[in-house]
Amino acid sequence: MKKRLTMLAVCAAAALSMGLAAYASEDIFGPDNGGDPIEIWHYFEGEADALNALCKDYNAMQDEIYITATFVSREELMKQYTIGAVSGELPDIGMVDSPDMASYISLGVFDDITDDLEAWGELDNFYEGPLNSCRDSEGRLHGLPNNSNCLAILCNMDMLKAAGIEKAPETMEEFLAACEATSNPDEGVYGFAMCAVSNEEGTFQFIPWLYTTGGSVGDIDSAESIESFQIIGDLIAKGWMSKEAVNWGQGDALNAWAAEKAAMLESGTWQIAQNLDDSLKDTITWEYAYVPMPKSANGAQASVIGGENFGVCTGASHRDACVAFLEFMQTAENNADWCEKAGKLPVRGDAVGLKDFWTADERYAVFNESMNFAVPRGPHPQWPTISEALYTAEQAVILGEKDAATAAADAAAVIDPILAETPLP
Amino acid sequence: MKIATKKKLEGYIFILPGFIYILVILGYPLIYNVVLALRNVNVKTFASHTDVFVGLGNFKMLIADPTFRKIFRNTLVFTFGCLFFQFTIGFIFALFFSQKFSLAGPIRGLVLVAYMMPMSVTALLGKNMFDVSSGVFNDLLMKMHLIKSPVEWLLSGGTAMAAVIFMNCWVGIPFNMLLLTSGLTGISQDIYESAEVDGASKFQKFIYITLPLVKPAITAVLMLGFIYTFKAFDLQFVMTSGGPLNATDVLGTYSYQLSFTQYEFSKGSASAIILFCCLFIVGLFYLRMIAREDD
Repeated sequence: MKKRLTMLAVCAAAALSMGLAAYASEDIFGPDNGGDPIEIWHYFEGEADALNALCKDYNAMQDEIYITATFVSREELMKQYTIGAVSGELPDIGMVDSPDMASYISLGVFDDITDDLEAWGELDNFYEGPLNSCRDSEGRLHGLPNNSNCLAILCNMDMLKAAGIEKAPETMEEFLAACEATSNPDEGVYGFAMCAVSNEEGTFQFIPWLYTTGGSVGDIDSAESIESFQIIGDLIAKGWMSKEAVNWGQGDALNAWAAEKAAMLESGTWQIAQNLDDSLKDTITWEYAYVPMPKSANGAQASVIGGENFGVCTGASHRDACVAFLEFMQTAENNADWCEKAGKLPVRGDAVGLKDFWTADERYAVFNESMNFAVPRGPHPQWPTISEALYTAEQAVILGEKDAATAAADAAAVIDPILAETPLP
Repeated sequence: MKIATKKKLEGYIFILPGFIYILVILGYPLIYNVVLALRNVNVKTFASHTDVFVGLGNFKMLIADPTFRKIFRNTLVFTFGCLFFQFTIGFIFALFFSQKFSLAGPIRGLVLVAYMMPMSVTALLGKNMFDVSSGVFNDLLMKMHLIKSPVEWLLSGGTAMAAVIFMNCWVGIPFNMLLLTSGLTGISQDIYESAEVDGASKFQKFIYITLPLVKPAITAVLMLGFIYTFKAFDLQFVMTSGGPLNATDVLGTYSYQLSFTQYEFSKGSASAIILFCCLFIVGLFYLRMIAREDD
């Protein structure tokens, strides 16, 4: 009797959990439309609701496929794509960080959908930089860009004013002066915080400094490139930035700024919606302002393009329907709506005019303006190796293991042979 | 059929499921890994199937690479550093808790909590405890006036390796204590009593009775400790990401990095095979020792 009761309880619990799961799925992605299940893998956290809402709308519009989106952490997602390239166990639609797309195209993770997209007739409306990150070495398209972001300087104006600086810095000279004025390393307070962690985030945050001085990835041991390493090294040597940057992800650097341990931060577009207006809303009681990355003495200015792409994975069931979903996702209206909800910048020129979100809010306006001088990373199939050489050189300078020239020469020893074989576009 | 042959056949049938299991679960990935290590499969050659046989080229390249040599050295330093501290302290704890006193059991149970925690949680704890500005270690040392300014634990190679060894010992000490305690409790009290009658001192009892009788447990602890520590991955991956500048990278994290971050599948496999060979040799050595003791 007892055994039977236990069995009944187990069955009831299983049925209940299955029912709840189905209910939860219907709640998020809409009622079952009878279509075949299609799975999207993504690593969106703050933006997940916007993506789910888009899936829900599409599921209500047609009955060929029923789309669900699954969150997989970024590290795990990258690992699963690599394993999937061997085993063939891939989702139908996959999301990827834009500089990584070229590597996954090379690994055969994403299908060539050029002909479908050309037949769509909307490609001319996309910005060249983000769209190029979806191309292979022959220019064939394997996906569509979803959103863009870039970097700017976030200033704690109260700290700057307390140090006698009334205006957020616009030039490199003003920036360095502000760093000096606001730093007090004995109290653990620094003028500037950035992420220099040993992964793509570290490279992402270093690139603006590299191009501001006139350097480039393709000429990493030039005098201009060495100067960019020197600027970072000087920030540490003068006590204007904490060495802890090498262990900080972009979120950790933001936390240091939010704890008033840094007066200025190299901050990304997404941090406005996800942090400043959300998780840190009650923490930040001071006046703050965004300014573009500082201009160098010769007038050069740079930021870096970030963002995510979506592609149809090789072997996807209902390939054409998946491409149709990507096209739906990236119509001008949907791109504008989605970017407004997620706090990102559109990838289509004709989406920008549909909202005043990017110009009316002065914080987003800074990023919108910065996109004019933001540089892409790659695309290059061996970008991860190039990226590793860059963040390793930066870390070596920050930790005082190498001087700027030696670090740049070591990075060149890795990067130059790769680019000699396959140059950057 | 002869009875002996029949018995032999029965024996083979009994081991067949286990053999198939090992062949599929262990054998296939191992062979696949060896094949990968002997070719040049990477992001450029993978999808186009243009990879070619390179023999021992990947191994030669790794051995010539200063980063790999540094990482191999790190692995040895990490392994022997952890083995020394976790065995010594674990043995002292085991001797202490094998004494009969009230609350010995519950306290021993509490010590084991660290062993039961997932390594990723331990690594996160370590990352926070050794943090320069908000870590508990710097806070304690400053309050005790032992240091004037915070130590940059995870920002320089030597201290970062020491911090990683500390956190691994945090888990390893209870594990060593557990195995050594079971060895110690197996020693009959009669032997100690007769030694006492013969006038043996505490030190003599330890050297001539405890150590020889607990030797099988010591060997097992050291061998298992070596294997677990040499193939470490999650601690370094979460706590330091192998940094700063590869200072805490070990063979496990480096193989992962080569295969899953740089898509150098063949080099990653070659690195994993070097790791496997080291463990295989130690494993063989251990089996031989056990066989000799059984004889």
